[in-house]
Amino acid sequence: MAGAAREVIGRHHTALPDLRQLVVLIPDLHAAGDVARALRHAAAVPVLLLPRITTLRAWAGEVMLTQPVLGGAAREMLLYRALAARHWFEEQDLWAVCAELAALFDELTRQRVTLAATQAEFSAQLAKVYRASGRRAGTSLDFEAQLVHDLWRAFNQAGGALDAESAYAARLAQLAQDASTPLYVLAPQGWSRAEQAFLERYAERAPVWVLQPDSAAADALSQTLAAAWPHTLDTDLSRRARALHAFHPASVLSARLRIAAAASAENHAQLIDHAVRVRLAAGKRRIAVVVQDRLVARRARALLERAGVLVADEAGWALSTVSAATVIARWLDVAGSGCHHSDLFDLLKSPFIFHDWPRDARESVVQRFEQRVRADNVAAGLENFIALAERHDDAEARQMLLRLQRAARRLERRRAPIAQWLTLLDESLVETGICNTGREGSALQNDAAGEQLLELLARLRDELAGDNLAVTFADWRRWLARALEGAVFRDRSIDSPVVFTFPAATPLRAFDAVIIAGADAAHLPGVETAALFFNQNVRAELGLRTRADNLLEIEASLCSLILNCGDVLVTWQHTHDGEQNLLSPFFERLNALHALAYGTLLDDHELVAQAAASIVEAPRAAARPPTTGQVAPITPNYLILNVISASSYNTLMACPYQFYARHLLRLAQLDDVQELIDKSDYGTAVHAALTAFHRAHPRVSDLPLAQAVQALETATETAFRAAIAANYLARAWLARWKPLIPQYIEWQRAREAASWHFAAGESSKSLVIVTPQGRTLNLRGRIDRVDAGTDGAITVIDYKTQRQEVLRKKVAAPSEDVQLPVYALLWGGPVAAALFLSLEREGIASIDVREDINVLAEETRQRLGVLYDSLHEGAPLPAQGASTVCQYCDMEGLCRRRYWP
Amino acid sequence: MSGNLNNAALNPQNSVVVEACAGSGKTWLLVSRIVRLLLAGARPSDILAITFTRKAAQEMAVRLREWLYLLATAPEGDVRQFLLEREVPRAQIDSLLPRARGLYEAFLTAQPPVTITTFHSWFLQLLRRAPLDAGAAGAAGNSALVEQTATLVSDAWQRYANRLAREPAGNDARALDELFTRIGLESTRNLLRNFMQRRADWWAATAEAGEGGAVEQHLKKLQAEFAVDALADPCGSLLSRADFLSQIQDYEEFLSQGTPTEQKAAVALMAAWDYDTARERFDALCKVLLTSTQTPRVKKPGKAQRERLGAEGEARYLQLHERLCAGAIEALGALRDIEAYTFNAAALTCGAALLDTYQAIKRERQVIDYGDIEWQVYRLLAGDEHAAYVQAKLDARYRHILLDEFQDTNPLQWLTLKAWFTAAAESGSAPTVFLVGDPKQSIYRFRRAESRLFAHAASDLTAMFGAVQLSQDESRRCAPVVIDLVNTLFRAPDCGYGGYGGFTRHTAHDAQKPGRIEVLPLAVNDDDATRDARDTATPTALRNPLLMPLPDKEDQRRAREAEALVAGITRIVGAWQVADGEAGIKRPARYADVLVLVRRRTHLETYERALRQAGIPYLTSRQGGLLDTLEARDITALLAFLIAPYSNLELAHALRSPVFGCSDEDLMALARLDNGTWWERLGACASEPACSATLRRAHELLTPWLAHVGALPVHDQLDRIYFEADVLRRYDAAVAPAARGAVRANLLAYLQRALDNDAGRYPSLHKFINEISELRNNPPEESPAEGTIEAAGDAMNAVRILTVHGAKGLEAPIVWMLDANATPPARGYDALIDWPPDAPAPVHFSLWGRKDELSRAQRVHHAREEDIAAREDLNLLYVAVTRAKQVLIVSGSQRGGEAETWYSRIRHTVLSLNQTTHDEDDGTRALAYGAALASPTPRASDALPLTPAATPDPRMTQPMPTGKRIVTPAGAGLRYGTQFHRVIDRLATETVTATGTGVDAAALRRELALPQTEFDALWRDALLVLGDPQYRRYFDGTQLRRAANEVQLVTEAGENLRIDRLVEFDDNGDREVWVLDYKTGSLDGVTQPLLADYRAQVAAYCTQVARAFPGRPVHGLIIFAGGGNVSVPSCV
Ligand code: SF4
Repeated sequence: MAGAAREVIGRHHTALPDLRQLVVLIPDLHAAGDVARALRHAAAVPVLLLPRITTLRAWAGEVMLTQPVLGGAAREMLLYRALAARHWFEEQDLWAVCAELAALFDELTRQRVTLAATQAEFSAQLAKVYRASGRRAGTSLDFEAQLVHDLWRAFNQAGGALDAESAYAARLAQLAQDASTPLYVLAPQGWSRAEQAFLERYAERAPVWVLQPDSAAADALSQTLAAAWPHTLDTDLSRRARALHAFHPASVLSARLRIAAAASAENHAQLIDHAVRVRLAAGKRRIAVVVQDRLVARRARALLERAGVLVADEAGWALSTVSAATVIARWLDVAGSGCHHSDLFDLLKSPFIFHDWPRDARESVVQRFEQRVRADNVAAGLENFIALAERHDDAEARQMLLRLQRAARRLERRRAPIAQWLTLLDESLVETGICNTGREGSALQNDAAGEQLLELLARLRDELAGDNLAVTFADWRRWLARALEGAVFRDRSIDSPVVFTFPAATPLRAFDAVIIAGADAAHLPGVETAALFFNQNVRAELGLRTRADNLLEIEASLCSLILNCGDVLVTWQHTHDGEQNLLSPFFERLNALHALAYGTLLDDHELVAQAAASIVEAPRAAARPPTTGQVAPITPNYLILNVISASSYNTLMACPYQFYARHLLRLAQLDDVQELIDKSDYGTAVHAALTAFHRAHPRVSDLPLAQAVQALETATETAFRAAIAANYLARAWLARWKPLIPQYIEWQRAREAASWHFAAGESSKSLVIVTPQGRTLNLRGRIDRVDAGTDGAITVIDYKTQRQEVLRKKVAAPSEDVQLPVYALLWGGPVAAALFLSLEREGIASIDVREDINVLAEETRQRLGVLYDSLHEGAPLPAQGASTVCQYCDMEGLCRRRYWP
Repeated sequence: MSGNLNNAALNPQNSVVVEACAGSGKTWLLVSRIVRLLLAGARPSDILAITFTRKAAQEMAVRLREWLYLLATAPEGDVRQFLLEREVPRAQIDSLLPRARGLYEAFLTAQPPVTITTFHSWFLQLLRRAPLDAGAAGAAGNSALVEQTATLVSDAWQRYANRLAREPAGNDARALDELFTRIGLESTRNLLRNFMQRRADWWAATAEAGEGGAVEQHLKKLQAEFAVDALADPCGSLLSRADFLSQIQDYEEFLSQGTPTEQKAAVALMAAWDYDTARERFDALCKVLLTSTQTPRVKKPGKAQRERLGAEGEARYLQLHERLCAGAIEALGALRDIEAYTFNAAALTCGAALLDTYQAIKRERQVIDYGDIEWQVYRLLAGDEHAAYVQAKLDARYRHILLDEFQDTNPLQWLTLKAWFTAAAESGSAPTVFLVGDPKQSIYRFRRAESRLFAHAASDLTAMFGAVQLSQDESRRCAPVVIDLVNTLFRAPDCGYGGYGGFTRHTAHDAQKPGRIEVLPLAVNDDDATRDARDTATPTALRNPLLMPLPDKEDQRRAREAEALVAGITRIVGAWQVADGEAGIKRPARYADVLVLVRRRTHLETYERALRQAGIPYLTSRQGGLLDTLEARDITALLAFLIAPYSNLELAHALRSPVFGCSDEDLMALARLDNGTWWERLGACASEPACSATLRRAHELLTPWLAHVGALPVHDQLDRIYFEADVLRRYDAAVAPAARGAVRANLLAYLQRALDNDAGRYPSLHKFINEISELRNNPPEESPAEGTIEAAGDAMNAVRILTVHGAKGLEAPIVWMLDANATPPARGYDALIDWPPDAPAPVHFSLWGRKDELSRAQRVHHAREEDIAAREDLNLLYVAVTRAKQVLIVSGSQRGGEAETWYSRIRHTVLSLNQTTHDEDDGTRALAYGAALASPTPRASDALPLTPAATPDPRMTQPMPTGKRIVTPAGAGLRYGTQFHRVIDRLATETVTATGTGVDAAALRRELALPQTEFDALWRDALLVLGDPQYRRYFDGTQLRRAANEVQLVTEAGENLRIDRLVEFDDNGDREVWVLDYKTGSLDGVTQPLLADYRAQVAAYCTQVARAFPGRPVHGLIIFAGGGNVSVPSCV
């Protein structure tokens, strides 16, 4: 750069310190500051009034045109119209095709390509280059030719508005026309044909100097690079290495360029983090991380922030990935896609909604309402949520939801022009308090990304204001998604010596250190996704840029980076997700040449080990937790309740710790909103149907068979109605039970024939138990069914929707599953029998306890007393579930079973 | 021998098919072939190598690059040797040397490059080249690939259900009801999920049918296949057949003369006619005639019987029985056929409709999945014209195609390839094809791989391209002892390997390599016998759960086996000598030498615990297991709490995790505060002096994290948590050393997940948590995998635990097959497809639920399928065994049933290798074959490696604050300034008054592409300034000498300054220079300190300008667009 600056100053030293009459073209605006400094340095004056240092595009942008200019969105809209009218593609593909076509047309303009005059000629030209035998690939090839040719003509014949690329060309023409100021060009490569033409025309009227910024003449470094990356492969690698060695016996590269390979993504991020901090510690002030792998860079940035190192990110992120965009997307999901509960709460919890509610108040309303939604299991539908709020008299939630509803109504239309969709969106954003029309603005408007996002939408709305082609909501959303995907958000709020940047922004800049992050083959050069139209050969034939051109450009920019910076670190990952990875071919070649010429590779192995040891320590020290072991807490008496149910008794049997967590700490898994009832709801519904049926018909045998079946069927339908209304698939549960009804009636009749009659259903009972040490404890439960036999005999029955085999196992160890003994106890007197009634597809079957149920019940009672006394006396509650129990236990996070040694 | 084989296989002219056994060096062969092709003059872009996993593709690419590097840089002697090993004719080597030297660079710079890829990504590339007029295939090029489809499927279900809810009386609703009634919700879901997974086969099977008619036509076909007559009533017609009825009568007579049992049967037979319906009668009849498995009850001739009935009577009786049984069985079969048909009618109706919904959803969202890719590409290439177009449009022209792991190919993939070959051949450039694989290692039938294709493709390629067929049976991996086992095991007559594909005897490349097989006795329950005895007796005392855990038999057996595993590893590691690397240098075994294989990943916990207890480091890589690990659940609970602070259990879970390390006492302290959510209680507790340090710390950390929700991206939030809470190190402290590496890897993998989430569209913590809980419910192949060893940081010396499927392509000196006595999982509720390798489409496609419900026609196909499945189970065993380089240890636990298992097969084989007979083995002893690899050297300790002792630079572990946040972001303000100048520039040439100008505002706004509101403000401000007479002199060209907007200057200190307007007045004045600075708003609205800032800034500008205009007076003027100005006194 210094040489180029001296050249400029040398020609204009008389004008110093005022160079305002010159124009200096640079490839990227990021370099302006460094170019300015270089010029001042060369001029050796205290203050330099700068020439206009700009890119050609920015410069041309200042030229006013008389013709109207069509924005990118408006142009795509025209293409969309034209394509839609031709009915070649389905709606959902149109935007993508438009975008590709627009990109292609821009390229054609930029490279000043004129297509063959007729479509037939163009077709023939394609066929020739594709080397396709015309007959067999014919139709598709003709179609491609027709598509491009047709639309290209349509868009280039019409006068009227210019698209951006044509406007650029027109502006360039104007600039060249008016050329008067001397022009310096510091970006020798990468000019399109249109730009080259401009430079030529300009030179006819005013002086133009194209300077080689890196013209470090033929020094050792550039010779090394030239030897590694020669223009042709005529001389083989080892010969070039020998020649290099002969000229420069010592490596000039090894002191300024190192390659470090990480073993994983995390390791890679650590490497970058470490390298940056080492350089900062060494006093380097301008450190550029040239990002090839975005994710690793993002991770590295987080690590740097741990050390308080802020990073200025020049590369930015797609707007669609910022949380400001999330709130809008989620809002549209709520408004346009049925308001699923998870979308609704994502929206309501966004910091960007309802700016007119204080955050704390809003959050507590939302949390309260969310708990109601979980409890009442409302899955979707704004109106259902409103009804729920009304049912619970939750005025605040209702108010929020009504606002959403009003806002959503604005978006209720089948088709509208895009600009109108955007206006409606705007209105709805105000309604929902995502935007504020008042002076101070909403959180979204005050958020840097949010501001850019809203500006983008406003600009697009404006640009498309004249277009009235109505599109569907879905198609508009696809359009919107693409718009947000294509726009980049750059956070400019950080000023830091550490800059994350991208290759195109590096030329002419003076960095103290450069880290090329993510230099593996997958990222540098990476694979380009093939464009929809044409292939490389056709592109070459037409005069468009090809992959080879791009590679040369990358190579040139790498050269310039290495030449301009004395400290370059290249990082990559030798394994990625457990797969082997490849170093970028550029550095692979450099390394190979270096090894042959100087016997050493450029690899830096130490750095990796150092990086692992250079992790910033946590801000506050705290004692490390002890090694996790098996737990057996001792519960203080105040946590012990004097109420227990059959199921909690069972829990105590299965795992005392689980009992402790559930019933003493009283922790429970929150209900998730279920879209569909599950097996336990199924059991509940069947129980309800049976109880209702038997209460209405205590003696089933009195009814004709068909009528009994009918009655139970009706009771069943009632019991399942709500679940099916909520989700049609709940019919599956109905269908599971219904075929069993005749069998059940048969079983019931047989039972009545044996003189057992339904006496009570779902009867709640409780029993006071006095423990051996005189404590009292309340045993509670609800008996599914009680049957009375002759002479006052009683059977207690537990309905089960479990398979017979499972139940048989249970009764085989009757003291382990305490359900039936507890039923017997709750009944309060001797029972004749206790049985499970299995209501499963394999058939109705009763399974009863083999032992004397009354003895068992008594033992079960005594044990409970003993256990209760032990708890009070400080017996530990060990976590000790069998794996079959743990499998379904929610408390593993507390007992930490899997960490026990 | 391998020389000959290589010679033929590597010859670039040949098309070749190689069947290569496990460990024979397939990758070596394939990559060598690529080198030979390049040497022979192929351009890189001529070469296409396809394999099945990205991992394998990467491995090949790395190997190829390494070899070409070697050719470019190694001494000439090495290069010659290299070429000789790859069968380059000696005579050609000299002339090929220069070319060999240059390949490396030619390869690295080639455009297009060598294509080494997977089927799927190659297909995707082809789709991108699909003709635009190819309908769905053309559109597929625009779509994004989704790898996880479980959510899409459940969306499809929901949409389908909603549709049915609107049409509850429709055909589909009835069909779904029928499925629900027959098999219930879960099985319906499974069945239709499997159907959708096999949709390519379904499409292929019904390709002939027109749009919409596929189900109907296919059902017609099935009806014919099952020979089902819609109106038939098999029971009724059987029972109304006079001959049958009279036979029954005769039979009944015989019965009633028979034994008491037979007499009872006679009564039952008569009672059958009491039933009302034919079906009930028939069922009763069947009970008499047939056993519960529907086979004829056994009736044999007998002496007593003959005496009773006479010889003729007996013969007649037996004949009647036989005939009646045959009649009943036939009717049963017919019934089953009808049932199976109606089942298919319902299931295919629903399946096809659900599939349509699924496809529609994907179209709407512009995504495609792997299944679509395969089908679309097949359709594309099957069409002649499209194939030619695609080939023309690709940048590369493949002339050499290499296929790896061919046994994993499915029929559609093969048909696609064949179409490709044909199209290429027709356009005059028939490729050479190199195909390598091993049908014995085909274990991906569940992903539709078809191992029978191998033989078929081989003969096809021979016919098409004259391919040479070779077979490589020499293992470079396994020791002779292991090979002995393989040979004996798979050549056993009952093994089934002889059936098709065959098994050729393997040889070991290194005949000297020591090896050993051990078969441990099966683990049994310690107290099986005693417990049984107690079960029958009356229990004396009930179990007290506080004192005694519930015993679980299976847990016990696994624990036993785990003990054996630990004992075995302890016995081996550090003591046995294994051969390392190519050279086979002996060294003591390390933990990392041990590969533990299981069939399934469930039940691994017990084994892992035993390893932890013994301090043996291990890494488990459960595919899809990440989110189920405790550490991942900890973090999930923490995040779930952050978005729903009322979730008490999530908070308690997080508190108990090492992140906070709270004890049960802490939890009880919170439980005691009876009021409010646990988070509120924690707040209350933290304000008490008695609060524990752990709880206080938790409260301090959680408070800011809660405040950040929504404000920070998920990954940044999570990173802050990891950092501030020192998460990694705390987990290190909390878990047993043996599990540390794995836990750390998982925590990092979780973080990576969050990073990926944030790079996706519209991220939020809420969405992230939702996705996590959805993914947890996904099938394992669609859920994130546990962290890998590389992510653990240092290469850990740990035992690896993998499934056999996961271990494909890996090897280890010591392989331990765990739980080898398990049986393969049962199947059902699936598609039954018969697609012979030479057929263009399946010859049979139907759905089935349970085996005993198959129609007779289905049974034939099903039996074939079972055969293939059994064979595949053997393949899996082959893969497992051949992972072992030297040592194979087999263990398992006892189970009921007599079925052959891997364990029993290996046990028998080792017995026979030791020439012991089966009878001499009571199963309680360990068996061994081959000498122990014991070492004479004293046992070396193989403890966990310590963390690298590198002492960190103290500066590197401490904060290093750098950079700052700029208070006013440059964005909006800067743009206002720039645009303001442009407006002023434009207006300055016109006459402007405070009320108007000749410039067309609307046109200017369009030019500047500014939104209306923004422009209006600018316009208003510009008019105000320009229209104000007091500023006239700064803008009126006649009054000044020179003026410029946005003048930039650079100072000695390297600062860049930008001046809004710099005005120079004429020589006849005092030659003053004015620095103008515009501000929005009015002077009145500016605070004093801000104004002071403005002044200082302008004064600084003036100072610099004065240096550029020496000797001239420089003044500053701050103009407020909203009214007012401030002048900054002359600086000179
Ligand atoms: S996971 Fe198992 S041990 Fe832990 S509390 Fe639950 S049942 Fe008990």
